Amino acid sequence: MKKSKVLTIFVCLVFFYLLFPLFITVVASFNSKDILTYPIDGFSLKWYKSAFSSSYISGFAISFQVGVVATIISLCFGVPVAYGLAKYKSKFTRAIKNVFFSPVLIPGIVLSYSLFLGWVFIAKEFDTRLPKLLVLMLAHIIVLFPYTIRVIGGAFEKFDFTIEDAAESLGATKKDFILHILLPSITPAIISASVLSFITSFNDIPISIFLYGRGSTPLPIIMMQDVEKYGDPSVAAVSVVLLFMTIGITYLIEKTLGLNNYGR
Amino acid sequence: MARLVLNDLKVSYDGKVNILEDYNLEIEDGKLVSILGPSGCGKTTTLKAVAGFLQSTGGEILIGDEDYSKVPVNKRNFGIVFQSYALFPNMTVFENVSYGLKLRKIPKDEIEKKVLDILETVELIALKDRKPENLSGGQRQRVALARALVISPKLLLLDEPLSNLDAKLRIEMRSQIKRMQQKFNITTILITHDQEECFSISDKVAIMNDGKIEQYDTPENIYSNPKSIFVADFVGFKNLLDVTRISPGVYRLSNGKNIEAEDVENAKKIAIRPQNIAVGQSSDSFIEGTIKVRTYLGEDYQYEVDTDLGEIVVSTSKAIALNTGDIIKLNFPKDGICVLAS
Repeated sequence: MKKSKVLTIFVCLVFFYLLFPLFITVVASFNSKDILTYPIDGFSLKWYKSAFSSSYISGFAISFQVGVVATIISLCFGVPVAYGLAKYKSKFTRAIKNVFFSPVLIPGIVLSYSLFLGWVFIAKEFDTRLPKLLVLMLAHIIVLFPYTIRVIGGAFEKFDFTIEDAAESLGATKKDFILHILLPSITPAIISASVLSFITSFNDIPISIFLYGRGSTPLPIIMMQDVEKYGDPSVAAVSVVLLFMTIGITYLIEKTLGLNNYGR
Repeated sequence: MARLVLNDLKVSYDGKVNILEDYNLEIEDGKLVSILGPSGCGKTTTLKAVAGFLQSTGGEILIGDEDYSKVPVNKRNFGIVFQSYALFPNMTVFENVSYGLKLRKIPKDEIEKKVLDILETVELIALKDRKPENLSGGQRQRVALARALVISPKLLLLDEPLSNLDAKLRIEMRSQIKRMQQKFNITTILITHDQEECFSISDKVAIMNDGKIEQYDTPENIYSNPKSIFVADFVGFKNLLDVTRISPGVYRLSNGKNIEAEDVENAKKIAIRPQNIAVGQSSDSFIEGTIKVRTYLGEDYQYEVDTDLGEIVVSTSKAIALNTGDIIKLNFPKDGICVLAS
């Protein structure tokens, strides 16, 4: 009895520690004053109006586009690579895996700076200025790729590759096998990888801050700049909107696909 | 009709060393033939080449008059049961079995009839909507068998199909395999390293060693009349003794004694099973030895006996229990001896 009481208190403390900052943000977003304070001076919904202002909406659109495109492309490359790495094990497999994982292991700021230099190099040497939106997408693909391989690779670790032979012996072509058996078998992993990739891209600041440009500024950068410039509670309101959007999406995925049953 | 002939088949992994060379095997229509051998003898390579997973570098794979050696796997129409069963994890039992028929663009109602029919035969109707992960080993095995047979294959290939099952289930499954094979009257190759498993259900057995077939015969003939030292050793002739032929039907053993047996020119060894050695007849005993180790095998006892011919393995029925350290007399009856030239 006593033990469980201690545990309950401990768990409550941990939850409090984890959720208190979010709680403050939610409360602060309803402030009627123009500054971020806690506790608030009066209740107002005006910051939610500015949360849906055109600059945040366009930032959201940029982040969304970059996230979706980078996720899809990293999946298109990640699935075949993960399959190859799991199926054809050689003494180089480990080394190859490490190379693919390196973008996660290198400090984010170093990678970001390198990508920035790479962009400068291309702009100088080839005298072409790639559209900033495209540059952002390309950079995000590099960052997302390792996550994709890791999650998809996990699914392939348990995959019995004689299944490919079995399908072929029954008359299937490689394409039949991929469409009818391989992809359906790893659908849960593909969903996990997509969610993880999209969220990673959507949250990113280090990469984007080096590479964004006028008209292609992702939402996190806009929020960061507004905190510096104005310091009013509109960013808090945007955060709350994002928070509930995420909860909503997670709930939908959980309801329709049961992420928790598969994502392991 | 569907007689299978492997004609001078050649297989190589790297293009230099041949794993199989001038490999010949003939299987009559509707017969079940086992390829038996220790691991690394090339039996799996043979299966892979016949199935088409491994491109043969020479020779022919004939079924009737048609050469299949250049036909891609997915056009061969051979049914294959894999050691790991290789069921499709995303499909139910019904979908697994119907997959091959679906690819053949057979009308839906016909597929359903065929699949339900075969699931009935392997007693899996009740489980048709389950996913493979919710099946036991034996059930998976039966799904794999049904999936391979439902496409009416020209040839059925079984790759160590029973090795992942426990002993009791293995006996049940092997008679099921035999029943199905006879019901569909399909030419079948069974790959195995388990002698009992293949002797019990095969029409003929090919014993392989080092990429070659050492002996191809009925199980009965192989059991009683092995043609080479390797085969004799493999099928349980635990005692192999060096001999020199001194006159027709008479051989000299390493201890200088002569022994009579069937006449074979160039004889090198004689082989005798533990249970064929007579124990304890005092009269004209052949050799004497001391029991070193006694093992209890359920039906009988087995002894390792130290003699001047080296170690001899003998077995006796439970009625005559001897003890370690006992000195016993041994006789080699003429009809229990198998004479080997190679």
